[in-house]
Amino acid sequence: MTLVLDPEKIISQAERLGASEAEVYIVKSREYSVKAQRDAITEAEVHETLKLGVRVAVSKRIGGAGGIIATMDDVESIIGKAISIAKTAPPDEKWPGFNPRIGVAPVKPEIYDETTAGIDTGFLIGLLVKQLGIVREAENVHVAEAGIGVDVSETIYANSHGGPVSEKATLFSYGYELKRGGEEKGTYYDYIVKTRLEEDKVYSLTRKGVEKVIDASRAEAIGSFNGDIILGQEEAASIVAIMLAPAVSAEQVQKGRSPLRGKLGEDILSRAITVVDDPFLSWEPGSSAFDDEGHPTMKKNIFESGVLKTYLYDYYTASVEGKESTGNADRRAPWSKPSPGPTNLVVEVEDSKSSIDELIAGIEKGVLVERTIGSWMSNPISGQVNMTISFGYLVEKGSIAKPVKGLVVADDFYEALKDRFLGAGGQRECFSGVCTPSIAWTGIRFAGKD
Amino acid sequence: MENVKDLVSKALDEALKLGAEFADARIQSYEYELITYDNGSLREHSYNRRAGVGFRVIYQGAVAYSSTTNLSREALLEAVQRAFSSAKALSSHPGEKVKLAEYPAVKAVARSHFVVDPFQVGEEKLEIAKVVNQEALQVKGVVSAITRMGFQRDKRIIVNSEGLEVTVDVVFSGLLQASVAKSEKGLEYASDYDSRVAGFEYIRDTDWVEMAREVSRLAVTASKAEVPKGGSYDVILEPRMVGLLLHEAFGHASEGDLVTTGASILEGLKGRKVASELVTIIDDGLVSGGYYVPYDDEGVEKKKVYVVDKGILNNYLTDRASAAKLGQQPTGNGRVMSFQNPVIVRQTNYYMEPGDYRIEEILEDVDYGIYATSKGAKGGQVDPGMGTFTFSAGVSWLVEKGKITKPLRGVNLSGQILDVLSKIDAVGRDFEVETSVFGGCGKSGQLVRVGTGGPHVRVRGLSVGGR
Repeated sequence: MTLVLDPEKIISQAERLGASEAEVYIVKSREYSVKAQRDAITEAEVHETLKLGVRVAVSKRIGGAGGIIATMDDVESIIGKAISIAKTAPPDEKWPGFNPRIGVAPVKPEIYDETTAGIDTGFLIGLLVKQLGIVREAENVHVAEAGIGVDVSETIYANSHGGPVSEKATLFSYGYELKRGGEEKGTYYDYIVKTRLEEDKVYSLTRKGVEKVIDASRAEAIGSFNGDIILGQEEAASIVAIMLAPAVSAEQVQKGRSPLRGKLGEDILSRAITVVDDPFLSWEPGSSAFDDEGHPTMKKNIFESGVLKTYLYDYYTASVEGKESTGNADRRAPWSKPSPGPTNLVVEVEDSKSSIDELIAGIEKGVLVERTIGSWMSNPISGQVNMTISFGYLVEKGSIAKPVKGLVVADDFYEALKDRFLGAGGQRECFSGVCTPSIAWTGIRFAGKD
Repeated sequence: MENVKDLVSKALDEALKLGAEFADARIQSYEYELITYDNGSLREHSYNRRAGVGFRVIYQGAVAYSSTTNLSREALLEAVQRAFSSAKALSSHPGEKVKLAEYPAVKAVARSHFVVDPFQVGEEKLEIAKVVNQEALQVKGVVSAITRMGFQRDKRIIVNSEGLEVTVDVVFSGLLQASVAKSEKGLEYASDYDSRVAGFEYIRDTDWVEMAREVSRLAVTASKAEVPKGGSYDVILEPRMVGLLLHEAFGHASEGDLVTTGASILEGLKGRKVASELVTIIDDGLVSGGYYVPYDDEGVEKKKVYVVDKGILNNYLTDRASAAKLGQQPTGNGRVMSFQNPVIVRQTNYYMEPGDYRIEEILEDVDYGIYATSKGAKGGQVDPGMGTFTFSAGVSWLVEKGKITKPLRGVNLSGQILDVLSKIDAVGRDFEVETSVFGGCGKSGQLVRVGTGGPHVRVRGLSVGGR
């Protein structure tokens, strides 16, 4: 990449053109990926991208523009566009300015790995070929699709009050969809996203898939019943992120779109549950020493023994309440207005059972959920969880009875995790920055094939 | 972009000189503008753009992609060489080799119709969004309202080493309203949107205030409504819900790349009965109310494809690679999100043909069921290999003895792909296709604009989540 952007020059230019304040967000990235289909490597991709976001204030009128940049002309046109948008905007009377406290946290999280940064297409091909080999050894199991990739990036932030701050990160991802043929047909997918390559995890994920796809192919659609639900770590992580991330955002709270509005200090979850926002976890994708407006990040308990302790703030929402930012500014894109969001979420459960088997042992009838579809359609405003179990295990009298599929679940998330919480089990595992053991609650209506 | 096209053509020649059997490129210039009014104030007004070229090179059956945002001759040559090197590295590994179905070297230019360029309109759009947002907040019981106005211009030129040159230029505009209401039962929301392949004249000529008020009234109704009891229900789906059902329950499984990789449950079922004979499903790039896809991102003309004809699986959707594997003609469904992404098979506008039933006739034969409507629906998802799909409804209604009785919220529906279309026993005579400038369909990390729709239909026995 030949073009080098100087954030301070961009800010100066915006100020010369009439901005009273400006902020610049730059992401440089290089991505390598390789894809396989039907047991064979089929495609490779290489991309280099430079993204720029510029937001400006003209008095209290705000505008933002950005995009993928190729030339200095692009940069100038983006600055001009941001200013022209700001000039037509109505004033934001609550505008506190851009974040004045720019800096990095005293703890520097491990998110950049030299070895991972040095990976090229040839290495990825070799590693993926080995995974295809593992699957080939299994009878009647095929790789429908698989992908492996590395992203090496640098994020830079500066505004009229300070900076720049910058951070390099690596990101490794591997995922697959395995298919079992023959009489019992089924598929199983899994993936891993970390900020460095951990080869042993790649191999163990492939071996796990080869075992799981056999059970998935035997899954039966069953009738409706009432029972307990045990969410495996991955599905538990997904639901926690979907329901809590918007609900604890100070912006959603202030705008009246969170069921947790006005509930600071109240018992919300079971007393056994603590939820931590932790930007310093090693090799997790949510880790960073500064947030998306250059504010230092910090670790905090959002729920402590079930009690809601804090919402998450960026500089704007904190200023509205006369508070300090919690270092949780998050941007959808470099040119977007930030809003508060979690870094990594860690779910800690008191007296969590050491294994999933121990947790299941206490269940009379229920489902251990391995895979769902549609959990992202849950409703964080009303607090209703929705999911369709595409693969799970029916649990009867404390042990696994058979694989099942096609059960629809709807429940009240807060009522379930406060009044009907049964406990947790198994090791805490992290999925895309959300770390949790398996969790269980009772009183579920599983709607199935009647 | 015309100058770039010549440089790109030379880069494709270079790929052939290096030994590639085929190369193509997608040149894209994309702009998007978003205005968000939130609780009476402008939350965000932003603009973004991207421009660049993505290359695909095939060498001895191995495929590689690379892209660049630098449009100089040197950078384009470097990008195509990078793709060639990757393809060459891949080619030494054993496995099925990629071939493309034959397609003529078409030369075509297609531009969607618009009158007023939305990117040249100033304060008027802010004023409209503000008024709509304020009116949505006036409805008693509403505690929050978001109004989004979005505009997109997406110009793509597809060039390949066989001499094909196709330009598609689309202008797209829309507005979305989401309102949250509070009652003694808690918070609930409703939402609605309308988008058209059109310019700012569409925004000017539509009564958004009435739409926003209706959304707010529905949010209030929803906040007081019950969640259904979980179980199996007869369900009447309004056209937008039929679109969601088809897209999730059948559309993805009919995508040729999933069929050829073995990831679709529809593999091997061509010519077999997969639905009630009342069901005919079409994928069409040019339909009123839908997105504009006259050519796909391989430059293949998008044909009107009868995927299911009177209950029989008639055709899979294909790009050139999956068409070759399946021994079909390419159907014009090879699409990308941006110049940086690989071509995969995607639906365009996927809909059900109307039938004969009046809506009253569809309702009158339901003893106890649900009328599922879309205002607040979030979308859907399918696991095409396991055959399970799900989709959410917006504010919906309980149907008792053929009459709509009371509102329901939190309605989520699910079923099995090969089962559900056989359970359709009434297809309405009405028809609507819709699309959205705020979202689309996600697959393999790529979001593309799609349209969906159909008439009202009745499905016997869908699983509904509840307490």
